[in-house]
Amino acid sequence: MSLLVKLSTTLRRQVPGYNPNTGLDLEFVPGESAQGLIHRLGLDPARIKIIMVNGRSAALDQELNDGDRVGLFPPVGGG
Amino acid sequence: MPELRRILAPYLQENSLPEGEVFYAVSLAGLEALAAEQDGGLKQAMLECLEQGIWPERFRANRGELSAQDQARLLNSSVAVMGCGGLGGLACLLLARLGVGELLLVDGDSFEESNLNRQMLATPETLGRPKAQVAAQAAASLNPACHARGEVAWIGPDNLPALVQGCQVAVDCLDNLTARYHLEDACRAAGLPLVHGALAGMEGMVMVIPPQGPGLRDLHGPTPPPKDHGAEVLLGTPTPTPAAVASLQVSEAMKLLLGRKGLGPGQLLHLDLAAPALEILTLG
Repeated sequence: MSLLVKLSTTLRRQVPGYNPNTGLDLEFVPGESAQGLIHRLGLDPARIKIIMVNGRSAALDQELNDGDRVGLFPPVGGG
Repeated sequence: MPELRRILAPYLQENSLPEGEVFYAVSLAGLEALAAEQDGGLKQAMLECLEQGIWPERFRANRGELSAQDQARLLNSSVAVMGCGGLGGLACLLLARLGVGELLLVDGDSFEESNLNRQMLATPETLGRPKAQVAAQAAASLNPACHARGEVAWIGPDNLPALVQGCQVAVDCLDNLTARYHLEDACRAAGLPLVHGALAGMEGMVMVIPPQGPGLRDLHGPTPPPKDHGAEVLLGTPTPTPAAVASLQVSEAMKLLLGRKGLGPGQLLHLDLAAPALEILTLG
């Protein structure tokens, strides 16, 4: 019963000890949405522009399933 | 054809491949002799040779991945590179080396010291000079058959329609999302595919935006996020990342020009040099 959560760029700094190779192995909470997960991680949803669930973009209110791979990305615009 | 062979004979080199196949390559001196004989340009001479399956030496290492026909197609292509900094500086050099015949290089900025960590065209000698002008000179000097035009201008809704007109592909090498949204709008209006590339820290994103298909609004919302929300403000743009992203952008641009399958609509290539990892994500 777990979620694999991958954080991008600045979000990595907000979770101490984040390892970009492994991501975060978090407990799956039945009924939790992407927004709920973001809240659980203590991240600011206003700074997250892209949510990917199992490689596909998802909305904040998408309910997560056991074993989901979640990717969270802030806006990236540098060149 | 016999005429072409006569002119080129002193400059032709026969090359054998392992499978017994043979191909000919011609040196720059041969191309110049052909151009002089025909009162034409270097590009025209290259095209004539490629038509006969004779490879200009400067492109012979493209052979194998590219056919002579592909190489000729690139020489007849026109690409707009928007932004000539970290991404655009390298993209412009790679496109010139690849053999794209026409390049439009646009940037309103001039080189400054803080560009030296990553911007290929920023050198102590070019500091203070307009990036677009330096880019055009660099591209033309790398490949004299490449017609490179530098446009020292900040892009916006007013000048974009005229700038992208006549190009087959635009490469988004800008450094802020507001300008990137404007560019996407202009490319959609002109029916032009856009190769988006952006980065922050050790991560980068590449997306091919077809004229009708998912784009930046599907990625970042209906309005561009404020510039200070971009992850690059905190994480910077360190040396390896722009080079990797620009290389992926040029590869996608090349495939677009050659009609090859590349990143599909709504596919987002996420590059993570920290792990390192490369993944394709899907929008929608």
